[in-house]
Amino acid sequence: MCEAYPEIERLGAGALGVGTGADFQARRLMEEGLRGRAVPFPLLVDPDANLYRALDIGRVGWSHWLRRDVAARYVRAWRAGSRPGRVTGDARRLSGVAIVDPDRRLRYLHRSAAVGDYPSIDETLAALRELSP
Amino acid sequence: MTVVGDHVPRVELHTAAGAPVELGAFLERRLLVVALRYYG
Repeated sequence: MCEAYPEIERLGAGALGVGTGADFQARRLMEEGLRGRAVPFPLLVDPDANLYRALDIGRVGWSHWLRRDVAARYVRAWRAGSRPGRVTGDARRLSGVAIVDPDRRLRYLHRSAAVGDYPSIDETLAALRELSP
Repeated sequence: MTVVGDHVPRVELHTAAGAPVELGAFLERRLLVVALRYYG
């Protein structure tokens, strides 16, 4: 989402990252960036998965990592330069992307169906464009 | 099950520095894209 942030701002929106990992990992990402690119928006920590549970973002069993599609995404991410760090927080929690309006109303939600199942930047921006005034 | 159109409840989060913070602090009268991702 870092690369899409200028367009997100141009559309008048803000961005935020929320993860169940440790605060030192969020700090490191903000300070050192991701694949050489600084993260231009705040990264928060949700150690108890409060927001995840509020949005009904589920968890998977350990056997989930044996799935062919999950393994393929892992290999793609590895080839793109991602390297797993120390396991902290809830590594079995799935991910998601939400768009929330100023009245706290949920306007868009992608709940991952599997590890690494993220909506494309184009899909997220298309949702934002539809919602932007 | 939370669906589009529902209100997002107030939940406690933490900044990367460890200070408690709430999602509403970032809404600032604009749409907010929230990426929920594992940092590890």
